[in-house]
Amino acid sequence: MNEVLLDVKNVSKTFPVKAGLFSSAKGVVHAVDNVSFQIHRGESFGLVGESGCGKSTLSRTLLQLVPADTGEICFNGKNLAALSKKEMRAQRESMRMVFQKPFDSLNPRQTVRQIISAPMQVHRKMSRQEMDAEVMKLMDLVGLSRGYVDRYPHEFSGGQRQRIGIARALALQPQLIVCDEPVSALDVSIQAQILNLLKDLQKEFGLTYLFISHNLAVVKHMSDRIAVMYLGSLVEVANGPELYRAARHPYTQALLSAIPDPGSGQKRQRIILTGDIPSPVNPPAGCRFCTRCPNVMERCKTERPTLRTLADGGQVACFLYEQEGGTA
Amino acid sequence: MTRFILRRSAIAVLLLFVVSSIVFLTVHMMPGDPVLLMLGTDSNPDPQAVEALRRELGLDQPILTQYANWMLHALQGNLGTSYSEHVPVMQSIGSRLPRTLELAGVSLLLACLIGLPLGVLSALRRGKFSDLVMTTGASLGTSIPVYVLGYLLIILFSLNVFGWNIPTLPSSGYVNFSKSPSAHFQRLLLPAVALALGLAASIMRMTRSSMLDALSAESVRALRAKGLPEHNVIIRHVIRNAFIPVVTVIGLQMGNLIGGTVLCETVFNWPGLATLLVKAINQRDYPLIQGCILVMSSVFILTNMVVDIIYGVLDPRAR
Amino acid sequence: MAEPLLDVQNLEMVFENKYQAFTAVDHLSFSVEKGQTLGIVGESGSGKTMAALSVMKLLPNQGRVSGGKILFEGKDLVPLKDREMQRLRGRELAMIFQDPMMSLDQVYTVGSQIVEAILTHEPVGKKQAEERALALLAAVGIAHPQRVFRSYPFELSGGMCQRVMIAIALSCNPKLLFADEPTTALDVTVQAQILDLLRKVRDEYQMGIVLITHDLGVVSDIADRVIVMYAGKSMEDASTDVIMNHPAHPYTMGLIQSAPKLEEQVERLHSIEGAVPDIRSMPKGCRFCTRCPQANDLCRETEPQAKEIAPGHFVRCHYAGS
Repeated sequence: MNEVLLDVKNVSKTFPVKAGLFSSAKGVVHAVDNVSFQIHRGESFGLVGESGCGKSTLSRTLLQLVPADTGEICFNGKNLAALSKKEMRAQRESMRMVFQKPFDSLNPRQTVRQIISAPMQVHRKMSRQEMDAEVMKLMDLVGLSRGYVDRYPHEFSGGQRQRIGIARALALQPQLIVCDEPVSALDVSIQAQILNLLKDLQKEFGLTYLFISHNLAVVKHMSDRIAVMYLGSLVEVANGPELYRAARHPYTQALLSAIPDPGSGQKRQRIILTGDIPSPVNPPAGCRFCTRCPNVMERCKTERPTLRTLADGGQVACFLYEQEGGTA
Repeated sequence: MTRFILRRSAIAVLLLFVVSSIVFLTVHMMPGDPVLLMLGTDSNPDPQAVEALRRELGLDQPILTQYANWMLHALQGNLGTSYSEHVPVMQSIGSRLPRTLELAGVSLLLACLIGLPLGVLSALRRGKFSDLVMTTGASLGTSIPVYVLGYLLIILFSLNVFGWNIPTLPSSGYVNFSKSPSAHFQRLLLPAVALALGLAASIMRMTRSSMLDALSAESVRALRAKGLPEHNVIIRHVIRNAFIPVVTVIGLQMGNLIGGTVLCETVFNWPGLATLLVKAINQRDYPLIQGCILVMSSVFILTNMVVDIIYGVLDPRAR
Repeated sequence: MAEPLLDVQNLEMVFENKYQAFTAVDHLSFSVEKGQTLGIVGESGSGKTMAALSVMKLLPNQGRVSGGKILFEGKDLVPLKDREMQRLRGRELAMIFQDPMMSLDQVYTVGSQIVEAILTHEPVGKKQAEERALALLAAVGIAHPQRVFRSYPFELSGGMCQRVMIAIALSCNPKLLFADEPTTALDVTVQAQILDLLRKVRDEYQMGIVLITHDLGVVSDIADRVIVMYAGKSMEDASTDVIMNHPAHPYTMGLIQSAPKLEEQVERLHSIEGAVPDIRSMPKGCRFCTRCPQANDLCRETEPQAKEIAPGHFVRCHYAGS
C-alpha cells in the first residue's frame, strides 16, 4: 500500500454548551471522540454517518479550521498543530475542501474567475496571464464552458456551482481534497455528473479524497475504504465491498438495511432501529450505540468497546467481535 | 418562568450599577465648575469662599471617595441635595418623574394602538393601494423629527392657521389632573401625539415585515393543510409569531422614546424630568444631573426587563 | 372496480403575473384508491409538489389551476370555494411536508396543535380532544405521549416532529394523505421508521397516500404505483415493479441508473447530461429531448403523447415499446 498521507491519532473535539452570557456551561458536546484513522496517498476514504455524528466537525478539525482538543493530525508526516502560521498556510495549499451547499460557499459578488483564482492570489505569486491561463485550464477540467468565466454564481445551476467549487479546490494542485457532502444538495441526475467528475479528476491527478456523506450508497461508490461514525466515534472501518457484504457493527447493519434500494428486487431483511440518536451532550455511558442496539448486552451499558483491528484488516468497535483474532 | 424572571432581574441590577458608575464619572468630567457657577461667574471670585463651598459640597475629596459616598447614599435612597434648588434630589425628581412617565406611557400606548393594527393590515393587503398609502405614511412618520412634528401640531391645532372648525388645543403648559382632568388631557394630547407618531411608524413598519415573514413560514401552509379557518391561522398563529420580533423592537425604541421626551417637553413646555435635567446640566448641578440620568436609565432598564419578560411569555424558545 | 378515491384528470397548473404565465403542471392525470400508495417521482422543478398543492388548493399566491378536473370521491374540487375546501382539508384530505420542524408552529406545544386540529373539525370537548391527541401520539409510535404532548416543537428531533405531523394528519381520519418529501430532511435510520409508520397507518386506516419524492429508493419501498414527472409532465406511469425493473422511458432509465447502488460496484455512474430546461423556455418537442441520448429530429419537433405499451403502463416517448 502507498505511504500514509493523513494520519489521525486519537483526535477529540468538544464544545461547551452555554445557556447565556451569565450562566455557566450546561454541558459539553462530544462532537469528535477519540477518533483515529489513516488515509493513504491516492486513496479515497469514505466517512459515513447520520446528522450530528460529528463528521463535519471532524473534517474541520482535520483542516485545522478548528483546533483539536487532544490528539495529533499528521499530514505528510508533519504534525499540523505544531506548525507555525506560515508553514500551515503552505500546507493549506495541499489540503482543500469542497462544501455541501454550492450556493452558500461561493461569494455572490465575485465572478467565477475571481472565485477560482482567489487561492492562487493568496498562495502564489503569479502574473495575470499565468493566472488566467490556469483558470481556463481549470474551467475545462471541471466541464464549465470558458465563456462563463465572468459570470456570477447566481447565474449557474446547483450542479454548475458545485463544479466551480471543485475548480477552486483544484486550483493549487492539492494532494488531499475533503469533500463534505458534495452532492447531497443536488438532484439525482446532476449528482451522478459530479460524482463522475470527482472520480475522473482523482484518476487524472492522483488525488486523495476524504469523502464525507450521510448517504452510504454514494460513499460506497466513491470510496476504497469506509469509516462509519456514530455519535462522535468510529464504530467500523472496512473496505467498501466488504462493508456491504459483511457489515460487522450492528449500527452499520442497521444503516445498510434502512436504505431503501431501488430495483434490487429482493427485499433485504430490515432492521428498524427504535428511537433517535441520543444527544451528544450527554452521550450514553458505555457503548454509544447501546440505547438503540438490537444486540445490546449488559456490559455494553457500562464499558466502552474500542476500535480493534480484526484478522482481515477490518476494524470494529463492538464486544460481539472480541473473540475474533486481532489487535486492539 | 420564575427562574427566567429572576435571572433577568439580576442582570437588570448589575446593569444599573454599571450605568450609575458611568454616569457619575462622565458628570464629573464635564467641563465647567459648579462652585464657580454657584458663586456667580464674576471674574474674580474670592478664593476662600470657593474653597469653603468646595469643602461644604465635598468636592475637595478624591473622586473615588466622592463616588463611594454618593453610591452609599444612593443605595439608601438618598441622591443628595440639589445645588441650585437646595431641596433633596429625590423630592424634585419625585414631583417631575410621574409627568414624564405619563407622557412617555401615553405615547407608547398610542404608538402601539396605531402601529400594530396598521402593520398587520398593510401586511395582509400587501401590494394593494391601501398598503402603499400606509407604508408611505410610515416612511414619512419615521423621518420627521419630534420637534418639527411638535411645532407642526402647534401650528395646526393650537394656532389653527387654517381656521378649521375644531376645538383649539392649548399649545403648552401643564395642569394637575386633580385640578381639572379635561384641561390636563387637553395639554397632554399634542405632546403625546408628537412623541407617538414616529414610534408608531417604526412599529408599523416592523410589524408589517414581521407579518410578511410569518405569513410565508412553512408552518402556515401546514396550518391551512389541517383545515384551520383562515382567521384562526392569522390571529392565533401568524400574529402571535409576528409580534415576537416587534416586542424586541419596541424595547429598543424605549431609548428613543425617553430621548424624545427631552425634545417634546421642551417644545411643549411640559414640566417633566427632561426639562429638569436640561436645567441641571446648565447649572452643573451634579447631584441633580446624576439623579435624573440614574432615574431615566432605571426606567429604560426596567422597561427593557418587562419587554424581555413579555418576549419570554410569547416565545417559549427564549425561556 | 369502484370509483377511485382521487381521480385527477388533465390537471393544468400555471404561475402567472401581469406579464407572463408559465405552465408548471401540464395535463397530469393520476388516480389513487383506498389503501393504495401512489408515488410521484421527479427532480426539483418537475412540478410534483405543485400537483399536490393543486389538489389541496394550497397553491402559492401566483399559482392557479387553469384546467382539468380533480375528482375526490366523484366530486370535482376545482370549482369549490375556499370555505368548502377548508372543511375538506384536515378532515378528508391531509398533508405532511418536507421539513417537519418548520411545519409546526414553534410557539405552541405539540399537544395544543393536535387538539386544535381536532377541535376545528369535530364537535368534541377540549377534554375529549386532549385524550384523542394523546392516543394519536401513542399510535404514531411516540414512547412518552404525555411528555411530548407538553413539549414545544423545538424540543423534539426531526423524526419526532414528523411523527407529530403524521398524528395531526391522522387526527380526523382523512381518506387521503399527501406526503411531500416526508423523509428527505431525516436520517436514514429515522426515514426507515417513518416509512414503516406510513405503511402501518395506510393499512390500518385504509387511507390512500400520495407520496412525493425525488428518491426512487423511497418510492420502491412503499408505493404501489409510480408516476415519473419531468418538467411538468408525466413521462412514465406504471406499477412500482414495472418502473423499477422494466422502465421504458429514457428518463426513468437514466434516473434509476444514475443513483449509486449498494450491491454493485461500477467505475462510472450513468449520468443524464445537461440540466432540467427552464420553465420559461421549454423545448418545443419532447420535454426531455435536450438531455435524451436517443433524441432525434422527431423528438425535437413533435411532442409525444402518452401511450399504453402494456396494460397499465403509460409512457410518453415516441420510441417506447417499439
